[in-house]
Amino acid sequence: MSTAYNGRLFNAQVVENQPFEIVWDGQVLDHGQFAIVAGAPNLEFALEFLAYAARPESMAAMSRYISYSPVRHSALAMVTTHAETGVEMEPHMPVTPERLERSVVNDWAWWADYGEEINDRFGAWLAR
Amino acid sequence: MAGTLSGARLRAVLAVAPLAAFIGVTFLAPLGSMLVRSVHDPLVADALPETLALLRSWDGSGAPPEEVFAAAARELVAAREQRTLGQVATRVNRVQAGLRSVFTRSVRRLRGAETDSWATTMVAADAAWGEVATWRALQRAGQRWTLRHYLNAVDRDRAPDGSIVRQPEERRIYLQLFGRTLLVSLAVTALCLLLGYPLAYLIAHAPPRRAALLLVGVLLPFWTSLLVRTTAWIVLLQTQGVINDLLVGLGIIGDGQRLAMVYNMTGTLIAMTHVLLPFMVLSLYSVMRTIGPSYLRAAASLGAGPVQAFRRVYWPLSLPGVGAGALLVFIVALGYYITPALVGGRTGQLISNLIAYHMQESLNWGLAAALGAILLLCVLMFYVVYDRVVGIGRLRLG
Repeated sequence: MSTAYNGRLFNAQVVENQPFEIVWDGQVLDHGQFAIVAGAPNLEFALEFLAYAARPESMAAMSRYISYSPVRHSALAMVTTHAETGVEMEPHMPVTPERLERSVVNDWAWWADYGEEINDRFGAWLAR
Repeated sequence: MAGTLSGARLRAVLAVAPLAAFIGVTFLAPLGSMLVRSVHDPLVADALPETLALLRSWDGSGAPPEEVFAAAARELVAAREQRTLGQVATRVNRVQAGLRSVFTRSVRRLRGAETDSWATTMVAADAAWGEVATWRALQRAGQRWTLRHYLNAVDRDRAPDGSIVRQPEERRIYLQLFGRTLLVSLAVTALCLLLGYPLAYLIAHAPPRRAALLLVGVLLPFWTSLLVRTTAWIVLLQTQGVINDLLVGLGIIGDGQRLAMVYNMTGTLIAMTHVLLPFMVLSLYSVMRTIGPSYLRAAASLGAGPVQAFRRVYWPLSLPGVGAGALLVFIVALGYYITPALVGGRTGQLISNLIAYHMQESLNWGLAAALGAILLLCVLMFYVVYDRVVGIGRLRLG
């Protein structure tokens, strides 16, 4: 048993044909973010890119390459198949309604407060 | 001579000046900076001077007076504008986990606020400002000079009443790792001596051509990158590695019984012994080379058997080399970092790996400095003991 990013497990399962089974119950959800630095010289291009990246088509297109979900409901319906193997991607998405029901959303503010202490305790536990 | 330098002395001083300057800049200055950092942390004290000064007259029971709240609100907002608030919050969070977000979040709300009672406003922004513990934590983080990091480095902390107490069991780690580091260093030194002594003897007393060949055998790995040698051990020792494959292929062990020889203490011991062996062999060799065969012949002619001749003549003569090699290997092993990081896994980590963690990941440089200072003290202690027992004057490195 192990924990891993589901995109990597998908790759092992489907592309490399390894015998992995994902237990989605209690999965930890996390999302990537974009930020524009204040005073960025190419603000317009940056905004244009964000607009492009946030389009449902773009988000759905990403899931043709790795089994990470789009973050817009409208994009979820556009998810198709894996570009390399042709596998249907919908069953591999972390955000299907039943999976969402029992998932934890990663709380970065909590980690900022308690990450160091937890890491210390984890280190002490590992060293036993 | 008083007050003047003769030409020869001046030339000598000038000749070592570049080296002295180099050592000063690259070794002494960082070392001094590290030692200062282990007891000195002015960040919070500089960001909140008035708050901390006012807190000094606070009796520590119940919430502090309104003027403390007012000063804190003003100085925290100023710290946010100067972009030091995050660092202040991190420091306080180390004293009491959970306060980081209290600082960053509530200060966002205090900016530009108009109020008659800063106490009410701050407690409304976050209830934690009404707690005694929050202000105590701020006071402790605000100490410009502190032994806090040294207490942490020996698994101790201060209780609210100021007494020194052990950390709760789930946070004790450093003393155990210091102990482990000492044991591993001793074990590696012993292994190096055990393996290196016969080899050095062989090289020192072999005919010149064979000696040269053997010496190259010692020097080649010595000249090979540490990283290459360590990763080579991973290739050899891992579960699907060369040694396990060989043992399974020969039918000595079953496929399910593959030995765990790396990513644990065994891996650390094997790889460190191999990496440090040349230091031992070369130290021994340089001394053994000077032990002429006539000594042993004299011992034999006086009736000593080979065992007695070795024990009473050869071994004592080789002792300076043993001392030099052992001291060198032991001290280098105490600070070993890359090899245990790569092959140590969970159980083979040493104190240096924790120091690196606090330097690079947790960014708790004060603690890293305190741990480093204690390690340095250990090294100096062993040096002094060695000097007392063997005498540094007898140290011979060839």
